[in-house]
Parts: sequence; structure tokens; C-alpha cells
Amino acid sequence: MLNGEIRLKKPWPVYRKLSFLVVLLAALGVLLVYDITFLQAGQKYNDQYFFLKRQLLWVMLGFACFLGALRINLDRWRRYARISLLVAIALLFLVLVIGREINGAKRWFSLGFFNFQPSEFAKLAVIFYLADFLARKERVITNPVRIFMPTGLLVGLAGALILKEPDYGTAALVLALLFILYFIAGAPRRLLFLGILVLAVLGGLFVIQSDYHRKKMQTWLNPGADPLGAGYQINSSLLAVGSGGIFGRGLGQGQQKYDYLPEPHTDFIFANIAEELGLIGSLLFLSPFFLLIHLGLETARRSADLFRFYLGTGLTSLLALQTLIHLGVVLSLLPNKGLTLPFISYGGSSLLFTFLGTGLLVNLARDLPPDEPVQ
Amino acid sequence: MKLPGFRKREARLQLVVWVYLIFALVIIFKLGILQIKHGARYRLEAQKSHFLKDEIPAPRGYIYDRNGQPLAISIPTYSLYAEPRYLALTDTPLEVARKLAPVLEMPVDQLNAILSSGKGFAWIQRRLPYETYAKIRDLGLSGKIGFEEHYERSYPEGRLACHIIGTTNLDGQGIEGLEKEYDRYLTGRKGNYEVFRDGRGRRLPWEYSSQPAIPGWNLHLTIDLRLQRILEEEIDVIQQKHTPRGIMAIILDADTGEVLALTNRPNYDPNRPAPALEPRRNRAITDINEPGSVFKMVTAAGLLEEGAVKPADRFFCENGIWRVPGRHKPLGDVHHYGMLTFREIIVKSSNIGTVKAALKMGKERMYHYASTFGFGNKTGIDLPGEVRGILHPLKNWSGVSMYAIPYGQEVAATAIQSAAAMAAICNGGTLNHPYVVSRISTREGKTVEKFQPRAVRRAVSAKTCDTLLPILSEVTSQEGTARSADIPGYQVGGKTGTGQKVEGGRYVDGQYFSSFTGFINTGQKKFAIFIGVDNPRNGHYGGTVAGPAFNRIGRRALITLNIPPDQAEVDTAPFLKKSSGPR
Repeated sequence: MLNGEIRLKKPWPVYRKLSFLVVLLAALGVLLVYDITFLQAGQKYNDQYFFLKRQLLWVMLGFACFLGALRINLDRWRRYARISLLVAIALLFLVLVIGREINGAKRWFSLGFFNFQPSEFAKLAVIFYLADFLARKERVITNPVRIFMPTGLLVGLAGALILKEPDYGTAALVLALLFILYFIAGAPRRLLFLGILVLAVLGGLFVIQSDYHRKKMQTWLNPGADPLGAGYQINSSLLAVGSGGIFGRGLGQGQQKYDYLPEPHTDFIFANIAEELGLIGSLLFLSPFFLLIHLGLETARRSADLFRFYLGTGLTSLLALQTLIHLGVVLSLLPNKGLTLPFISYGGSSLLFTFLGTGLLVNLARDLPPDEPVQ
Repeated sequence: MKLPGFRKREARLQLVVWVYLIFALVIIFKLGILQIKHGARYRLEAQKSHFLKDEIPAPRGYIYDRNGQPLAISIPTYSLYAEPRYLALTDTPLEVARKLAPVLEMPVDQLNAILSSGKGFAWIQRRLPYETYAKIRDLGLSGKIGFEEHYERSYPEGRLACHIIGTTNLDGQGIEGLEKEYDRYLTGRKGNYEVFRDGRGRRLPWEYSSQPAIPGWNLHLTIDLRLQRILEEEIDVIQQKHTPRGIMAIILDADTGEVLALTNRPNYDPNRPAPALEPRRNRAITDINEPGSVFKMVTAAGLLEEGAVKPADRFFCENGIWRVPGRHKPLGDVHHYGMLTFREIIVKSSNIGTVKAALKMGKERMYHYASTFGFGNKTGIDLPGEVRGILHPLKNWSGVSMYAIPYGQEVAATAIQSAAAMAAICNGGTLNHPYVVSRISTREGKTVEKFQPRAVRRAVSAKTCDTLLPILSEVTSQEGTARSADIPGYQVGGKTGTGQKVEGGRYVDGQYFSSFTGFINTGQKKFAIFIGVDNPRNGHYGGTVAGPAFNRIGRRALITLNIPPDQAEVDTAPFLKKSSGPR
């Protein structure tokens, strides 16, 4: 380093980049939750900061989880993989019995200060369990029986319980994670294809036999048919996104968030973002997500062992799928199966477990060999 | 370090990543379609559904008399509403009800029922006065309680001058009088603002593109409230004494045509306009009657102007009954006279003498003077509903028309026409447009429009008037038909009229239109006063029915306006002495 003129630039290690993205996204989330809720919070609770304060609290709790997950010794905790899935399944059972019903769905334990959603925990538990299982049973991956007994069954059971709540979005997510990890692990494709086919047929039959879901599907296929009735939610979402135009209305200037959008601060938060920021802003806004996923996959690829590889792949896939499905629903590419946008959507166990999962991912990234310096 | 089976797993992961990537691209593509291709359409649609245009009421212009006394004002009123559904989220309805109840003087239970109804919107009480509004505002209650402001028309003088001012309907539109005639000016322009509505239809507290309301313009009238009050009171005396079907009375400033006072009976309270139209009619301009002998002043003016007759010319009055060939009934006078001078004919109001004199100028000239004094035409007063009266065109005159028209039959006139004609004689021969509004001003007091006196035409020469006025003054002398009208100390005169009522083209026996059209000339001002009584009971001669009222109106007006009597005449007949014991 002569005269300090020539300096070898040492890039940030992946874990630091990841941590930075998490902080950035969390900050964006706090900002956007306030942006969306201040008025209604003021009217409803006489406190425009009502949701902001709570989101800040959630984010702090989230960071606690994040830091916790970052520090744990994965090799030691790995032995709890199966137990954690069993606990998740037990909780999913329990929630059907003593859960709190909101809008006709029993997804939450009421813990007084907040509602705990066991399916959020289940998502991570499934990934954790599968990563451990697939890493251990690498050689039997081609054996159909060993695949499904007991792993497939356990994960399937978790999925079925989530479906029963009902929470179709999360159930689909869990099953998708199962298939993706199986696929990557090298399970026989014919078998996976068959599994997907069976589930598709079952799902199709389920939709057809239920008026409610048939209508929902029809609405998705043709939202303009009944713009004020069944199509109202998806139409207000499209109206929000569309009216953003290329440049957006400006931060804070969104209009659809005022009781037009369903769940403007959770399941439809991106609609408001697209309205306020426009196409250019939205793409800028989404870039940290793409980067996060990219870095997550890189972490997985470069991991030292199979467990870490699967864990990284699973956690990144969870983030990717959840983000993509949220966007897909908001843009009406997918039927309305409300999923939160990681880090951004308001509060709850969803945010906590997103932090927890990302903490595990950063934990993996910390174990990576250092990057080669780039000039 | 590479894990076993690395390549294959890596390839499969890559495949999964491709799937994510394609999904992401589809999302970006869709985002682009929505925001670029359909952006404008969506934004328009959003605009339509999000914004609600709301009106800001504009206060209606005030109406003032000539001295700035308010005759019509606009009072803001406040309607109290609640949004119970949202109120319940932040407040306790019962608590709010307890605080509101004493101010509104409403039972707590009733208030609580409204506030806890869970409705999106509910009126609590409408049209509250400002004091109540201020009290509730100062209570600092929930934001889910609010006021909507309106303006309500109020007429502080009640029935006074109601036919001039008129009234408005519930929508605040003028439907009578000046309120109708000048509605365009008085209304002002409503302001508006766009409010943002949230998805539940609630208004959010932001305004977009607001346009302030422009208050209506004020009218400043020629009416003098003091004279108006005198006129009203004296007309009420006639009303009580003679219980007529109707009365119309006007005081004009003879020099300018300004209407100083105008009233009718029956009248109404514009604050509570009755649905019945009869009392609302401004008879002074909408009702026509045969003027009867009042018309003789027109005939006389014409004759003098033509030089066809001199005041001292003598006519034989046929001892009261004159059979005219072609006329079914003989022409008659009330009192039977023999030879009279032309002056006496007017003073004593002989029909026969008037006709004989009028024949000297012929019917063309008669028609000319009738119309030149404004009969058969609207005076153009700025009040709605004026009619033109009846003066048949010459070609429709029959052989006996000249035996009727000179003393006021076969013609029909409104009160304002007679008053205006009298004013013309009184001011030296100029017929003016009578008018009520002298000035229009903005709320800030800026004059927008000023109305000056407008002459219609010169009717007769000043010389003619100088000759005629003393004759008309004698009408109120001891030998005239309206002795009771005289006001010592001033040049006062007039002409009585007792026209028979016409219904369905026939004269009705026992029904009269009794009137007195008079003038008061002082050094400072000249007044023309018309008092017409439709179908009076307890007497029907114009002199006895309307004369005394003219006298009292004139005297009180002169005192009020502080116009001292002519010094020379005071010495002979002290004004104050006489006023202490009128009648």
C-alpha cells in the first residue's frame, strides 16, 4: 500500500452483505408500514404511530432472533431437526383445537400481546428437517419407500394440517419446498412428477367441489366480471399497481391504501409500493430481494457440507417463493392466497421467522471460506 | 472442497433458479404492462372512485334599505352529524351523549341511541344556530362528530316590505320579489372542494383543488325603512277600518322615481312563506283596476298641454245627468252641478265636465296623453310580475269610449302606473322609471352596479304642471273631494278615485276601487303617494277611505325626514297645532 494510492479492495464478505440487506429491508418495512397505516391508526387508535411502534418492536424482536440464529452452532442444533418438525406438527394439531379463529381461519395461538402462527414455525422446521434428512440419507434418495417413509409423510402431514386451518398459501409453500429440495437432492423425477400430478388432481377436485373455491378461481381468471363483489380485492390491487404508472404517485401519496386495498399493510403491501413508487421505483425496491436471493443461493452453493447446502437452498427458496407468490397475488398472476412480503409486511410471527430463517442463512454464510480479493 | 454429486445437484439447483427467474421475469413483465400500458387508464379510474366533489355553500347577498338597515340577511346554521361506526372505535358513545345532551337539550338516551347505532353516518340535529355550534365545538369532542354549514335566509323586519323583498324557497332560490328578480346577483357562487374518500366512503381530511365560495352580492334599496314602517302602520289602520279585499300603497320620490315605500295587503311573513299565493302577490304592480277619477289628472294635463282648455273655461255639467246617444246609461255625477270652471270640474271631480272638456282635444290626443303618462305600458320597475294594464289601442275605441276614458273607465292601471304618472306631474312633467334597487355591492362593500334615475320621457311641459298642481292642491281644500288629505304648511294635492270594480267584463254594483293619488311638494323633496283600497266596506269614496291615511302618512313622513313646513304657511296654519289633533 504505497502512499495509500493503490489499495486492494477487499469486498464485503457474503454474510455482511446479507446482514446489510436484512437491515435495509427491515428499515424499508418500518417506513412502509408507517406510510400505509398512519392515517387509519390515527383514526382508529388516536395514534398515528400505532403500527409503526409495533413494527419497530417486531423488528427488534426479529433482530434478536436473527442474532440468535446467527450465533448458534448448527452442527449441535442439527440433532433437533426431527424434534422441531414433530413440535411443529404438534403445534399445528393444537392450533386446530385451541387456536384463535380470525375471519373463519384457525391459524393463530392467542398469546395476549401477539398472535403466534405455528405454520410460520413449521415452514422453517420443514426446511431444517429436510436439510438434515437429505444430507444424512443421500444414498437412499432414489428409493421411493425411504423417501416417503417417514419424511414425505411427516412433511405431508404438516402440509395437510396447515391446509386444514385453512391456509392454502402456506400449505402450498411447504409442499413446494418439499418438492424443490427432493428435486435438487436427486429424487426420481418420475416419482416427483407423479406426486405433483396427484396433488394437482386432488387440488383440482377440491376446487371444483367447493363453490367458494370455484368462485375464487373464476374471479382470479376473470376479475373484471364482478368488480365490486368477488373481484373487488384483486381489482383494487390492480388499480393500485396500475395507477402507479412509471414514476408512481410518490412515497406516501398512495390512495388505494385507504381502505380500498384488502390488508394493505400485510398481504397486499406490494400493491401500495407499486402505486407509490411506480415501475422504476418498484424495480429498485425489489432489487434487494433479488440480491438477497442471489446471495442466499451463493451461500448454499459454496457451503461446506450437504446439510448446509440443503439448508441454504431451502431457506433461500422460502424467501424466493414467498416473495414471488406475494408479488404474483398482488399482480393477479396467482389466485388470492394472501402471503406476506418478507421483511416488509407488518409484524407478527411471519416477520419473526423471516428474521430467524435469514439469521440461519447468515450463519451459513459466516462459515464460508473468505472471498478471493478482487482488484 | 466439492461435495460428492456436486455437479448434478448444482445443475438441478440451477434449473430451480431458472424457474424462479422466469417467474420473476413474468412478474416484471406484468408489472410493466399494468403500469406502462394501462397506467393512465387505472389512474383515471382511481381518480373517479377516490374523489368526491363537495360543495361549499355561498351566503346569499344581504338586502339593505337606503340607510343601510338590513332587510334580508343570511345566517349560517350548522347541522350536527356523527359517524357512529367509527366513533365507537375511539370514544364511548354514552360519554359523548352525556356531554352533548345539555347543549342540544336532547335526552341522553336518544343521543346515545344515535351515537351507538353503528351507522356510517347519522344526523344528530340539523340547523343549529351559531351559539350552539360554538359551544359544541368548544367541547372538543371526538373527530367523528362534525358539522355541515348551511346558510339560511332571514328577514329581520318580518312582514315589513315583504312584497318588495320577496322570499326564497327551501333551496335558497328567490321565488318572490327582489329575491327573484335579482336572484342571479344574490345567489353568489358555491365553492367546491374535492375530498378524498377512503374505501368505506369516509372523507379524509385533505382537500384537493378547492374553490372558495363567492358570497352573493348585496342589494341596496331605495326603500326608506322609516317611511315603509309608517306606510305599513297607516295601511293597517285602513285594513282595520274598512276590511277591504286588498290594499296597495306606494311612496315615490317624484324627482327620481325611487320607490321609498311600497306595501300591500294582504301580506305575509317571508320568514315563513305560506303556500297560499294570494298574500304573496305584489298587488301594486300585478293588479289592475279602473283608476276612475284619478285618471282625470291625465286628461287635465293633456288638455292644458294642448291649450285646448284653460282653467277658467266654463262647462255646463248637465245638473248631474247627461244622456249620451249610443250609451245605455246616462253619464252621471255624484253631486249635481250646473256651470263649473274647468278648475272646479277637476277639484269637484265632475265626470260630465271632464268628458265635455276632453272632447275638445279629441280621442287621438286623449290616447296620446294616456300612453305618454305610461298607461298601457309597464313602468319597468325592477320587481317581478309587473303587468301593463289596459289601454286599448285607438282603433279599438268605440263611439262612446270618449265618454268613459277621460274619467278613468275603460282603462285599467296598476298602482305603480298611477303613482308614476302623479310623480311626473309633480316633478314638472318627466315620467321616470320607478325603481327599487339603487346599488349592488359585493360582500366587501365594493359597488358593482349603481342604478341612476331613468326618465322614460317628458310627458308634459313644466308650464302645464305649474298650472295643474295648484288645481290638484285644491282637491285637498275645503271644496275638494279629499279635504281630509290636506297637510297644512306644505304644498299638497292629489286626485281621488272611486272606480267601480269590473268582474267578467261587467261593473259590479257596490264594489269599488277607492284610491287617492297624491303629492307633497317641499322645497327639498317631492313625493308621490298612491293609496288604493280594493273593495272597502264602511264607505267607498276615495277621499274618505284613502284621504285620511294620505294625510297621516304624509305628516309622519315629513316629521321623520325632518322636512320643515313652508314658513309662510306655518304662520297661517301652524303645522304642530293641527298635528296635535288630527282627523
